[in-house]
Amino acid sequence: MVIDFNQARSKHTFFRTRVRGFLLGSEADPDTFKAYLRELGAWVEALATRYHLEEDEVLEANYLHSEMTAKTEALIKCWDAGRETEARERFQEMETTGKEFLTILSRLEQKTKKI
Amino acid sequence: MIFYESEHATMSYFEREKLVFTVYHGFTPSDELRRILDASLELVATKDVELGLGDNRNMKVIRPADQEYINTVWFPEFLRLSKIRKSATIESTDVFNQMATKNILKVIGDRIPFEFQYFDSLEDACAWLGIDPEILSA
Repeated sequence: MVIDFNQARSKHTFFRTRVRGFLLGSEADPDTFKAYLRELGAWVEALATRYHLEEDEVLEANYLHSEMTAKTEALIKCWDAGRETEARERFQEMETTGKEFLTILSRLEQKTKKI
Repeated sequence: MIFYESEHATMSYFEREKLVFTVYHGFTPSDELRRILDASLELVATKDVELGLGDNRNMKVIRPADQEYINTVWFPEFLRLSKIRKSATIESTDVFNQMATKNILKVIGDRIPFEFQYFDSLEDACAWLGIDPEILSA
């Protein structure tokens, strides 16, 4: 089974870079990084719907992606309300979830190599 | 009466029908899911509950650690505390929730001592439970 895990890693990297840019003021429109997050969600969904993987890691990846999405919405809300410090705290939380997500991807990648 | 409410779920109790009705509103973080599960235990322990109805249409993934919690901690406690005799669920449209539910039922499905069924609509579920769906929106 050949699944392009690097595609997911790239989408995650683009996403977090753009969020950081948003917090630094170089990225005005949240839609740019939300688009990467949606693409990442579609990639995770394909693990179940296209590749029919039923491993726990697929469910965990979907959970962590949903958590990143919820934290991104919270970050944008904080930023729009002028609560910049809180928005940066949300970003740190998102980073933690992102790291967990990448760890799960690597574990799943190892598993799928054996399929 | 509303027994538990958050942005993620609403749990209501209908005394005359002895019914607990839980609606999930979308993605539920792990810690919140466990609060909802705790609330359901508190409800069946303190109220007279014979019927259960779950509207899971908008529910999303249940992470593996929470599936394990449901199977090993919540479900045995629920069995010990509840006098439920019939339970109906409207299945989620989310593929990951369906996978998680399938996993849970694989473990506890044979140990469910009450009547349990999935439905596509709230109306069909209510008809099976013998309750008027109008009470849910009252």
